[in-house]
Amino acid sequence: MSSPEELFKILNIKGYDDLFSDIPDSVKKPLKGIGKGKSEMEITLESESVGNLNRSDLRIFLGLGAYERYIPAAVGNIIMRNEFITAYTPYQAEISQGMLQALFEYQSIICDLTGMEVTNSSMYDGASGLAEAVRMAYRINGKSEVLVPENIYKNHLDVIRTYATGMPIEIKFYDVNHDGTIDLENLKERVNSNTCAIITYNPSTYGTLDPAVPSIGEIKGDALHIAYYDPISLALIIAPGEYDADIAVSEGQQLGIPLNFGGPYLGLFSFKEKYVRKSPGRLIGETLDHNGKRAYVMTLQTREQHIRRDKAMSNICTNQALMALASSVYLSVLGKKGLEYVASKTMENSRKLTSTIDSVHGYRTRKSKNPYFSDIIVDVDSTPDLIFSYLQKNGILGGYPANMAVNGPSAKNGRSVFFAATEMTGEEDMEKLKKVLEVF
Amino acid sequence: MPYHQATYDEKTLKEIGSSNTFAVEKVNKPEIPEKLRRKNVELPDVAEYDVIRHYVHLSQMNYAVDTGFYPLGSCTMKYNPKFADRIANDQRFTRMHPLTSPEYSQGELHVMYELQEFLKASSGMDAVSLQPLAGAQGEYTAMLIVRKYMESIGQSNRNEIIIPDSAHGTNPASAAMAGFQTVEIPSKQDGKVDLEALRDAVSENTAAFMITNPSTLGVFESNILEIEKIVHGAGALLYYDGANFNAILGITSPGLMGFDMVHFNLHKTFATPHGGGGPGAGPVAVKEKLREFLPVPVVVKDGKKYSLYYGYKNSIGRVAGFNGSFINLLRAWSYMKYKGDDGLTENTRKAVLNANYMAKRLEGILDIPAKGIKKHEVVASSKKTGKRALDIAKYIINNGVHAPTIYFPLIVPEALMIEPTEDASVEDMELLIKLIREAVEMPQEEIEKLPVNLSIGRADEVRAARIMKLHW
Repeated sequence: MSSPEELFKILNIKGYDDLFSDIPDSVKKPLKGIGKGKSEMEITLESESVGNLNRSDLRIFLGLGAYERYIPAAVGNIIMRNEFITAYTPYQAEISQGMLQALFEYQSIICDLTGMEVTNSSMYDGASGLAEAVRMAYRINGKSEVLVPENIYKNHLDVIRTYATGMPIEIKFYDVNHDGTIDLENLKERVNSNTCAIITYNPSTYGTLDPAVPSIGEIKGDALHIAYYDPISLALIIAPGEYDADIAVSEGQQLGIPLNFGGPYLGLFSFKEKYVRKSPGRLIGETLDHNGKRAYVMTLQTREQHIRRDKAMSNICTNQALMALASSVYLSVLGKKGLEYVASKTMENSRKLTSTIDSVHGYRTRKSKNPYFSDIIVDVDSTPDLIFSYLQKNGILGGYPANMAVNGPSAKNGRSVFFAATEMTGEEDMEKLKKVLEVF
Repeated sequence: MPYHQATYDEKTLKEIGSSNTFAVEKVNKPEIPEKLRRKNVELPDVAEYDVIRHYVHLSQMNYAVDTGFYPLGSCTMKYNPKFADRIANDQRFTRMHPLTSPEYSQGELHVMYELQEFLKASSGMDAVSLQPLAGAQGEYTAMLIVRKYMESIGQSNRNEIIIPDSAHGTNPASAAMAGFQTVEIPSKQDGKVDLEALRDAVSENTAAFMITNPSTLGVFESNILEIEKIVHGAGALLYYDGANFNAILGITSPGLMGFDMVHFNLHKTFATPHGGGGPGAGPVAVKEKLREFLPVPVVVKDGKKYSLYYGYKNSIGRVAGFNGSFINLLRAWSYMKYKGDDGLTENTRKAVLNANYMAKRLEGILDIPAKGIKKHEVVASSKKTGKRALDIAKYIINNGVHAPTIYFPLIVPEALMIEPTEDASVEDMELLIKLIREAVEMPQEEIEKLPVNLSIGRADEVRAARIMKLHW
């Protein structure tokens, strides 16, 4: 008894039209523009030929917030499990303990990784996470000046500006050194009683590790320190919690998520516990069930939109739960040793890539006493746009024009580009890059 | 046979004792200045086989559309066809860096361009941004567009957004984030907009009216054309919350109803899996006069070539780091092509038929405050039965069906919001009816002890908020 006709009878109607008689005829119109439906086979084959229009075979020497890293097969295996991927937000805790525990563990693992006290159960991406951190800082201290490095990523600056619309927030730039690291003296001069937050990057947006970042606590005064970090680097590099950052944010794509042409990614968002009630997003907490068994629930929901409405700390409803799960599987499969390997190999490859690039006439990696982590800024003699497109034509993605990636003049003549290495960058790839650059 | 969810006394990853097994080649530790060196990092130390067992156990303690009926109102938990999973994992799409030049990412741009066109056609709008990363971010984007538009015509005094009291919580939250004052107007008992209240609320300070149609009570706002006149007559914009778009797709559209802007929840209407809480995608579509305010870039086509266009002078700016939730866009694109015009319309019809069937069968069991034809969902109240919606929900999950949304919309006491979607059989719906009836009849002291068939008993949420244990 389940054909539409039988249901019509039960409902005492003639057909579908009766179910839409409440919609004025003047606004009714059949759907046109998507076309005739296709079979699964047809759409699959079509998708393959559309996919072939992409050059997905380029050798990747580009990062700037999105990195090609090796993803253990276990990650895809777990996040494609039907019970996770086809579930909704765990509103009914008792029937959704699996996702709730997984997200609680995600929060815990990211706290361990960053040394921070609290991590929420995810933001949309690194850029919007950073913008939400600025809003959170304003909610905490009500001050108006946000200090950002003059070489801040352009997309980050754009999203921060968007999210600051309608708020009395003023973005001010502080100087950076030639290698992209913070000019601490300059920053110190700019901090005043009206400073809301200081945003720092480690590695710097030019790719160098920045020894000034751990010293921000000494000069920040009443301002909040928002630390943007590289999650892979934290296997080797001092973590935001160790230098007393107030809010720590990053892009979690590197932790088991493919490049995906930009999304879905994962906003990692951590902070000091005393700020929890001003924080955006969802939080999972541990509790007990009525038999005293350990249980997990969404908690502190009185900060959230469905309860607090226009007074909520954020409007976040859907977040990136499945991507948070991916990052947890990634970090647990790798473990400490695996992550140390990825970070060490990345730095080793960056060093090799630096020498490779320096060996080509007309390309000079920016000199610094601080090592590069993954991204590398390179000063060039030719036009950055042409280098970037020439390399792609020759099967290499790299040499991204710096003036498109970072704010402010990265070189006086505007001639600098970005390359990047990860643990996957092979010596053969570097040889090929060298050859291609030499003929340009 | 009673339902039994798999139950494990599952340890956390920190408590599992097996040692890490991830094999790596030898690599020299790089030299790092002392000041920058990490002293110690702690991560789970677990063998891969135990990591897998752990997450398989957890997955078995998680209910999903693929394990059973999920009539969670407003969330549209329809079936997610599996071919889309394969497409979404195709390296031709996933191994693409977001900064690749358009010339070398024509496949991605083809998908985005076609999806923009599909969303325009289905919403009756003129321009689309695919950038917002979730429905709520789409709402926020739209509110920023309202703000910038009003500034551009010299009416920045318009700082109020009117919102019905039945609206999704994200509406007032998004409006407030964009710096607006929210003005809440009461709904009538049937969930429809109180036209008098709306007339009283609009003024020279009104920037926009946010509304979802059908309303959160699942009934179509038949006065929509009158509402359009009132709002536009006051010089304000009309915003369509696309959370309930799946109820009208193929029958009418926000454009035909006179809306100026709309956001979509791709996981609701276009079957992208919700991932246990995300990722989503929340594209925004607008009428021509608002086009230049959209986030950039958008994808444009010149002959056969696709490129990224950044030229909107009044753009509100970026809301995402890169190109939006691309893989979700890809999934929605493939689903829309699979279904086509007719299939998408058929979805709407079946979803509405199922909701009306549910409403009919609930008669005599629960109160349904909004009378007449339902659209995609039905909101019932358990108040008169003396049972709390919460207890009924726990009875339902205890028997292996996901509970309806409860306590929403806020204007209905003891609300149960039921959305069967097009992918529900009569058997599914009859099972839910049976469970609701049994729950209503169950003695209070017994129902309060539920659930007992799930991996845990009733969770103590008050304790969680009090002890605030947010990590291990």
